[in-house]
Amino acid sequence: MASRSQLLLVASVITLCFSSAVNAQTFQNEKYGQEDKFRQLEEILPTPNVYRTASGAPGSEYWQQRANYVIDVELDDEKQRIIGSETITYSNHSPDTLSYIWLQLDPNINTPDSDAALTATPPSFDRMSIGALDRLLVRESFDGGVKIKSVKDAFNNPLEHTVVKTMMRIELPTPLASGESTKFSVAWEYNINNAKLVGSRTGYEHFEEDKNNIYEMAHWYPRMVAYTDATGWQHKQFLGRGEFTLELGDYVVRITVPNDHVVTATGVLLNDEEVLTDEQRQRLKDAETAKTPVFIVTPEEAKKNESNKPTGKKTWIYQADNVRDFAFASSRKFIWDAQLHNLEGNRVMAMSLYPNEAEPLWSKYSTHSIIHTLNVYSRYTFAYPYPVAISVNGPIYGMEYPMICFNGPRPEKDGTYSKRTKYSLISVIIHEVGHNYFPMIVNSDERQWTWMDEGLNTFLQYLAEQEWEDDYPSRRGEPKDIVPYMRSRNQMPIMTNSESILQFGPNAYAKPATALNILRESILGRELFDYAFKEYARRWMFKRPMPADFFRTMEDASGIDLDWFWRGWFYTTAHTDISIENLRIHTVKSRDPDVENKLRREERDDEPTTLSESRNKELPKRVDEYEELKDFYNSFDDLEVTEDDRKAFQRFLKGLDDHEKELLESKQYFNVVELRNIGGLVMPVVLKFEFEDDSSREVRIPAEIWRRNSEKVSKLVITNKPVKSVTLDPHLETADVDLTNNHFPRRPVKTRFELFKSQQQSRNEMQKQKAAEKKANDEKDKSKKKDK
Amino acid sequence: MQSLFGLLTILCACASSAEAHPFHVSIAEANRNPKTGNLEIALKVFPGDLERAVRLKTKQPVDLDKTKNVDKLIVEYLNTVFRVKSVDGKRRKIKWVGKEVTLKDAWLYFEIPIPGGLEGAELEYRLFFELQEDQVNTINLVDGKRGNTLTFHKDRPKQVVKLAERKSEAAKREAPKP
Ligand SMILES: [Zn+2]
Repeated sequence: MASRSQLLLVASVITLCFSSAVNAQTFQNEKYGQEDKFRQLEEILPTPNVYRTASGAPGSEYWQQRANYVIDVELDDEKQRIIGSETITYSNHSPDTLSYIWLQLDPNINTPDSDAALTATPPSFDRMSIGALDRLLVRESFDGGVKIKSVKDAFNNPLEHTVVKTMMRIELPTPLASGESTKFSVAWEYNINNAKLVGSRTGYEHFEEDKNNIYEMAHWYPRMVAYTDATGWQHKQFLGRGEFTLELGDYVVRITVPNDHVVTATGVLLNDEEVLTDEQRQRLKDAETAKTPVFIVTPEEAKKNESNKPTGKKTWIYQADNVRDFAFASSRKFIWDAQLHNLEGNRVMAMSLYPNEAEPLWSKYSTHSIIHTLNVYSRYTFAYPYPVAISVNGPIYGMEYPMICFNGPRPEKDGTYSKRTKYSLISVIIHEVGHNYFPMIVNSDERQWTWMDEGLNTFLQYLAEQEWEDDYPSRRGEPKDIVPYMRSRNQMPIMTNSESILQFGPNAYAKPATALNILRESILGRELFDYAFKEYARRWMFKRPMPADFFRTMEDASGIDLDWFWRGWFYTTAHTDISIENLRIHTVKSRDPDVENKLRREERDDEPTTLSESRNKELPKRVDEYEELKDFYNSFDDLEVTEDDRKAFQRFLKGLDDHEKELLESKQYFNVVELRNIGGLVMPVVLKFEFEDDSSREVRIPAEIWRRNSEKVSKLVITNKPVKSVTLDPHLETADVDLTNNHFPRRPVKTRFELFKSQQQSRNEMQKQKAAEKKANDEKDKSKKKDK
Repeated sequence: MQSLFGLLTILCACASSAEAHPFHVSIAEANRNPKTGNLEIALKVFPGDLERAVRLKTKQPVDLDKTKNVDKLIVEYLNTVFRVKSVDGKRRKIKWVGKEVTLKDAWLYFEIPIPGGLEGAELEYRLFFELQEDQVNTINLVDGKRGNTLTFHKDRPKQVVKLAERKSEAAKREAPKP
């Protein structure tokens, strides 16, 4: 136990926090000293009710609010400002009466005194770049907060309102009863951040050479705070990491921009005859039947547009139904390509918009990547229900909104690009377009749970990448890739609020994605997993699931109790480390004295001679000097087979029936493998037995083998050949962090470093040899030439 | 602060976003070889991060696959961000072993002589702090039967190594002998 307390001392505060938080939920059993890893999650999951059932489906009285928006917005390209006014129709479908409502004012995160700025810890000042210093100073002075110009009811009467950090409360003159709607309007403006200086999920990028901007606009209008059965008003303020919790609704948005800009947005364009040329409209028509993407604005046209000066303004009108958010992008630099894709009968226009700086990479891969994503994701969830899917290149590296996403990778200035840039682009587009499914349509609460959208999406991203080409270099998904993280100590469980997570990427993206991949490949199998996962997506399409709804649906639809899996992978930081401690082999004794005694004699002869025995051998012995001291016992070998032994064996055989004789004669090996769980995570056990004749056999044992004892178990495996060695997890499917204890007999497992070094040395040996051979050949050639 | 203005401006949006690569983490496996006494390190980074960092330091374009003597540039960079003082208080420099670069990862292999053992040595680990605010570097240390995991971020760039018995070793000791 000394070791345990030492470990605790080293473990950081975080571990302590975690254990105290979960201790309330674990049940100590002092008489056994082990926690029950298969205990149902009853005490942890919320009690099922009429809104959310025990099976993980929306309940008979499931409700969600709805917010419809009509918005007029102007983009001021001279001063980089947003000036907007909106009318929101808010419907209260909850059983509650609401006396006030909350709006989100996300740009308030960009005020110098925002909580995000105040709680930021200082950067590292050593070797700080000018860029970083610049960003720091701009962040101190840039005022990107929202100026609320008016808040009015449907009759233009001002409404009392209070700004609370990144939120605003509006007092309702009469409380909003269950089943009623209210209409109100807000007018606002704010300064848009330069995304390269004030990092964000939105902003503009300025191109010094041609003095143009690309705008990627998101959370640019006051949005309803979600009111839900699980949290009431979602009052977690916007700190920057925890993303959004939003209501679904219908939008009509009129976007006014300089008249030479091209605008793309969530939704369908209503006034194409006003804002597009006849030629562009014809090209869009052509895209409906094209087999490959068609340019609506060609690279040459976009290049020409860069030197334009606007002569006025133009208003682009977009409509989007049943979306939880609305984003848009605008620039005169955009190239635009499109291709209509028919997806299980849904007509989807896949489109990409990007500047010449993104070429030739983008016209080759962007729209293709969109269509590929829709095909693969739809197969695992539901058919993509929206009319457009858009990928835009600008300052934001990767960010998702309904129907539209912003993706960053670009080639070098000379148009060349590395392999890495190519795959980064394809991956980020798959990821961001994929977010349409989680969380845009399966509308989870991102402010609370990052994994519910990022984890599920990263899992599907992995599946989609693997269908792009053979051996696609996916960064996340394979169990072996998560091992270094699982081995590390400074972790939080996946079930941790977005803002508190340590090692964000591995925690909220890679670990849940890998867990789901393991669940699919090694625990449920593809068929059961895919059925259950699809059921979850369909149940919660256009609804708001909570973690328990996912856990419960996966069990309900697969028919497999997975509480142990959620408990281990999502609620703890335990990892997989199972060890083969021992292998005991039992065989049936034939009872035939001629066979058995021979074996025992062999065993006896095999016993090593001790040092003293071998040295004493040389000494003269008294019994040799005085022969008369020898008697019967000096020559008697107790393994000598006597006639009595043989007769006894025949009598034994006669007493057996045929079945018993058969058993006795069958050469069966009873192999008992002793396993120890060091990492704490209970996982299936996969064993590969290798036999003396070099053949092998695999045995797959479900995780339930640990249900009575989660620390030590043994497993009997009967074989008809003698076992030479046993390997645990031969296909690296459980993210076992220590492979040195996965073999019996133990095999030295080289560290990654040792492997590399030995490969390098052997390569060098080969090179040396090759060089020597070459030299010898060269000399031969020389001498041949001389002969001539 | 002197070197500050000599550096190039790099463009990087530092806020976390829902991007596909919000890693901003690196993981290193470090084992002390009992024969040589050297700390043997395998460090996994995102290749793009490494290219950006070396470019920032050397002020020249860097391509891990194409740039000549890129290994030398990497070592120069590593020596500024991975600094080790052995228990005798001496700074120990990196002995380069090599690298493996794939599309997904770059693995860097190097050794650091560490006479007197790991316990009590001082590690300063500032990898990529200049690129991203929320960079977290994790190193799993093993010295025989003892080990620890240390995490470095901008508020904690330097630590004196403390080790404890490794869990797997404790398990071995507790295991009944067959
Ligand atoms: Zn994402």
